[in-house]
Amino acid sequence: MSRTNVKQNIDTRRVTQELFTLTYGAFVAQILNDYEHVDEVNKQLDKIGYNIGVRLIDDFLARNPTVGRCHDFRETADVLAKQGFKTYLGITPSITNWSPAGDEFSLLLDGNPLTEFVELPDGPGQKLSYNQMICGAIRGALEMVQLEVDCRFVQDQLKGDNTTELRVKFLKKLEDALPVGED
Amino acid sequence: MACCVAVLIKENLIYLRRSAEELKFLFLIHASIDILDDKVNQLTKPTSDRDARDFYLGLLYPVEEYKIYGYVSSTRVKFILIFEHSTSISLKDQDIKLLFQRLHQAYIDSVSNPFYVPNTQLKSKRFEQVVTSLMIQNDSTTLPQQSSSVVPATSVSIPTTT
Amino acid sequence: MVVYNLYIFNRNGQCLFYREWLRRRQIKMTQEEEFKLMNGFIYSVKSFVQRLTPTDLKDGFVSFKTNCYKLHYYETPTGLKFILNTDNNVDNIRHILHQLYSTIFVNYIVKNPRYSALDIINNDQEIFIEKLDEFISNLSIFSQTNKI
Repeated sequence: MSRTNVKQNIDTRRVTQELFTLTYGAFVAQILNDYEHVDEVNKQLDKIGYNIGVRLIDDFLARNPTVGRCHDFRETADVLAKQGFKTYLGITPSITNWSPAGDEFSLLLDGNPLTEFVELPDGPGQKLSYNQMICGAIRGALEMVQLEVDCRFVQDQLKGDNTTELRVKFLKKLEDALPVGED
Repeated sequence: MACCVAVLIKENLIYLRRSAEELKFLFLIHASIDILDDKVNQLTKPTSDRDARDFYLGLLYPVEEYKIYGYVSSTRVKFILIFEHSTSISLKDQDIKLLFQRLHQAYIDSVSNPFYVPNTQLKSKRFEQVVTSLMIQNDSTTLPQQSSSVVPATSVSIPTTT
Repeated sequence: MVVYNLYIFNRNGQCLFYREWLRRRQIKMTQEEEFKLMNGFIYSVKSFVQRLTPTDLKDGFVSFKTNCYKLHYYETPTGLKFILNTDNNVDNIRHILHQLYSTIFVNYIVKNPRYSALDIINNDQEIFIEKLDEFISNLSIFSQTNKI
């Protein structure tokens, strides 16, 4: 296979949105069955997202060779919303609610493809953070580019809120590890 | 206008909504299952000249006060709509077919909810909304037509389409 | 033009992968020591270059040349470091190193579920090694002399 072929394959291999949505749904439902506590399920989804993010960032950078190191957190937010979300979920969330210090922002998700058919089950299931995987993925991906962030949902349409709002908070910049024996 | 909506898988009622808590709806539904099955069997016969995707089974049978219509999906999920004789003015097959298609689509969406266990009771809020709209909106959309017609709704004679 | 060898380091300075196509002289040190020196060297050069620069660096340290070889360096924002040694007739091959990263490394290592992030790449990653060899040997800078 020549190199150009490899590249074409990346772009033409697509699945329908329904298959993706239903796969994720079946997956969350199964985890919900397997664990007793909803909190534990949320944690697992976050973990899975993290593991995805850690890998996804390399794929993202491979697809977008022009994206380099961001100079500030606003640029990070921009790339995340306009390129990251666009590439992997096909949506472009709007960036709002910047904190005065510029270290925290919200992403408003409009028409999240993951939740298309979803209605949360009654009872403890109402506490389920269905999209938690997205948080984990953002955390994982940004960690790989030396940004430690906290990411969580503050509003969720599945829980009856008007919008789905994801809050990303900058914690600290991770430093490159020093080679052993050097200062 | 529809006064009862029911969804069945085989003989199990997975969804029932009726305008009044009356037992007779259950009787009517159960009575219509046999006719439904009969029609479904005819559908699958190769001699049938119907379109393979045409799931509308038409009027199952009229009883004194009600008319019962049926619809079946290709996965053999049965939908039943019951209309009151007295209010149903000029119920065209085409209109009812559309109602069924909306119901069917709503059913598909609800089944796609990952937390719904197949073949169990449908408790989806969205499905509930669609059913409500079928039961209410129908009245409101046909009422204006009714006002334009000279004959009051109660005295309209219904052409039987058997 | 000749391609000599390739190092891939992760963010923590661990050598994930090493492969040589042509190496005429064997040096008297263990491979482990060599990796450590290479990583330390790259780290020093990088920070030195950063300190010297009068303006903001975009790509940073790209390559250096000696009288007999040229070292090409490419670092991804995720901290993966690709180091490719060639003979000194080779021009800037940053785009090739990016291609190596995006089409070979990402596709056959990062997307391989058996590979857990930042692990050393073992020899059982056959597809990766095969594709890498294919990629390198198809390069215009990879010449007949390599194949002797």
